Amino acid sequence: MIELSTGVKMKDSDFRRIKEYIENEVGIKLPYIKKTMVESRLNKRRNAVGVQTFNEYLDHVFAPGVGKVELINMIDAVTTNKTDFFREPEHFHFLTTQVLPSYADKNNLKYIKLWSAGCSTGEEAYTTCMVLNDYLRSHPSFHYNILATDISTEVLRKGMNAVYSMERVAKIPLETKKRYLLKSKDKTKNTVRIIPELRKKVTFQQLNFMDDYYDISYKFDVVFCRNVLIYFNKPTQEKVIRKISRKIKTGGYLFLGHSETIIDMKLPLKQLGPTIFQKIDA
Amino acid sequence: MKFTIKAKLILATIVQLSAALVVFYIGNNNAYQLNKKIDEIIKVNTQRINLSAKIAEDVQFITKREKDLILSKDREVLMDLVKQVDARTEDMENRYAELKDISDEKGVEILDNFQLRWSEYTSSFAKIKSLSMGVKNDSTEQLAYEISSTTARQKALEAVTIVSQIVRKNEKALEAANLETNALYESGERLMWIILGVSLLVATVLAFWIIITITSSIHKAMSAIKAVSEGDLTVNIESTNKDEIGDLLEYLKDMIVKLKEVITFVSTAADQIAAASEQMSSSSQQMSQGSTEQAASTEEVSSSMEEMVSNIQQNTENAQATEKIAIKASDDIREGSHSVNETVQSMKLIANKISIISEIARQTNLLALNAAVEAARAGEHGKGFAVVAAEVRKLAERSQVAATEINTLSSSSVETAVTSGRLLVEIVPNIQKTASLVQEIAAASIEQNSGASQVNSAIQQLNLVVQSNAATSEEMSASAEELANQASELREAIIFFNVGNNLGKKSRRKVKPRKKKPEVSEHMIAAKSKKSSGVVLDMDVDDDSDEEYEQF
Repeated sequence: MIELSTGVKMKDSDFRRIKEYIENEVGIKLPYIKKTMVESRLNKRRNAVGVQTFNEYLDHVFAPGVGKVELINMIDAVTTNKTDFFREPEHFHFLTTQVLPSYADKNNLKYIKLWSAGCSTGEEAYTTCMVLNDYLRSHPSFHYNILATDISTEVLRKGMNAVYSMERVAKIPLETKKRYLLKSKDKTKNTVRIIPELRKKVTFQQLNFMDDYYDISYKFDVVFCRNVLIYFNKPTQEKVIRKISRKIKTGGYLFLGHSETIIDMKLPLKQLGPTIFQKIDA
Repeated sequence: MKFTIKAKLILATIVQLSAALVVFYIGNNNAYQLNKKIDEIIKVNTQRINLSAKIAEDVQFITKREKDLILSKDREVLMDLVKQVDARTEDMENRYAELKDISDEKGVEILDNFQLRWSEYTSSFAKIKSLSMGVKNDSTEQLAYEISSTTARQKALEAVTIVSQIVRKNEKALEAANLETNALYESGERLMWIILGVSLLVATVLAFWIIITITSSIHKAMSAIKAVSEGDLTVNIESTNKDEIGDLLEYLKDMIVKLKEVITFVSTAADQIAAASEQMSSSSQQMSQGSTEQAASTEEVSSSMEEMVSNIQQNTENAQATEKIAIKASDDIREGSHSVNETVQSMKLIANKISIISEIARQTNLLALNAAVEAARAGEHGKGFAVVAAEVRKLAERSQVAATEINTLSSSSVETAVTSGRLLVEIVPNIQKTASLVQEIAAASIEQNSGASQVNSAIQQLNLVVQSNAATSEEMSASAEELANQASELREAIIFFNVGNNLGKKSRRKVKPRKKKPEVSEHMIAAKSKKSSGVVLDMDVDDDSDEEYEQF
């Protein structure tokens, strides 16, 4: 007889503890309907910690001092990290056809800084690298750097490692793949890795959007913050965008996800098109 | 007919302009009449008076020379006088002709009368002249004097009187002209006053009419536009005025109809979007939940598979062990069979030995009986011995019983052992069969093991896909929720317009109130106090090596 390693059911009181913490500290909405998700995602962590109930697990997580590492693991587990290469490609098109020619040339900028805010496993940042490197071929004097931030250290680690399954890069044109990807020699692994030249362009850093200030010492020309706001409630959305916009240079650009908007928010941003914004003087 | 504001203003202007024109015409006509009269007075009457006066002067001049003619004796003087009279007569006749030209009928009559008298005087003068120019004596002088003082004097007087009639007549005419011009002026003035009054009245009425119609139209338009500006599209616009503002109201009406259409359309669309995105949100939520559960199940199946694989591994090992054991068992059984045969022999031997024991027991029993008899004989002293003898006898009896039982048992044991031996010999091929079967099981387990490993890796992959699906649907759900929120915000915005079909209320979705921030618990305070919770990542971590990768 094979014994099934079924997970432990989560009590409502446990879910409330997690919900309170996540909503307050991470800003991610966790309505009751997400309980199954939280339960199944945290069962793994609970097993890893080696306790029987979620109550014990949470006591461990929230214990002063010792819980710090597991707290990050818990946040990693409940955050949704969905990303793709060349997701919402019109933004990249806008970047190369509008932003770079007019903005960069006009301001005589040969070096632009980009920020992939809520970068997940780094696909967005590396896509940007590919697009910019293509642009660089015709504009050799041009330089860029990308900062990629996320709250989940797990995804940051994956992003830094820059190894992806073959399926995830299936949609990238072969030419681009040949230019910017390496493939595993071991055919059974069937993975690809971003070339070191692009990996060097991206700096990964952990950042919680709920922090009072964002510990970044410089301002950006372009910020991608796509499909991040949808997990936050409205007041949090506004706070986050306000803090992000402080890190954008005047005249710099902000890209949001396809369903996100800043309607009704009093922010120093001018809408240029759907989900495309420009920073103006406050 | 359309009576536009433009038409009204044009009409008013035309009315006032024509009033002004009439006033101008009347004034101008009046002035013309007056001018004509003044011309007449100056050119005709005054001329007549002047000419008459001059003619009277001429008559007097001539009559004076007539006297001088009588008195004078000097021929030369006489000739000069005649010359003077002739010249003056010619002048007078010219004046007379001139006067006659500008005289009216009455004047001409008077002048004819004057002409009559004057011609009579002229004939008298001719007589006097001839008398004076001829030989002068007392009688001629007397005669000339007589003519001069009678006929000539009378005719000259009459002629002057007649001429003065003309002067008087014309003075009267001047007076009449004065009266006439006064009347003309007064009537003209009155008429102008009347026309001015009438035109003022008409202009005022027109102005009031225009002002009232325009302001009423503008008020209507204003209230309608105000209502629209406040979002009320149910406002009923009646444009009774057929003017530009009426047109304006018509266009406003059209605009409201169009706006209503558009807003109803937008509102419906917003409703549908809201409904659809809510549906989508809940669907993707379900999907997300499903995927999550699926992920959890896959996770479980995966770990179960993991366990199964190790179980299969274990089974393989066990089967292999069992095979060895079975082979050994078969050998052992064969050996066991020999042992059983030996046991049977031994058993038979035991049975023989047991009959010896049985004999000994019988003899012991007899001996014990004898001993009991001897003990009874001994009396009190053999009492203890009698007890021993009884015990011995009991033992001997029990031994005999036991020997009999053993005998029975051993004979049945022999049978059993023989059967066992036979059975054991029969078992051996079965065990050999078992061993070969177990061998097959072991081989199958190895097969199974590799199959299960493949299944496991497939499940791992499935797990990844399911995880990714779960994340995707999770995000889709969040997106859809965001969309639903925006759609309901759009609805909120559109509710500003009242299109009269309760479009706002009917489908106004309950916007869930944002959850209040839960109370901050202890660990949160601890976490909050840290401004930035960034974690320093070990950037040197390099899980994979580029060595393992090659050019694409």
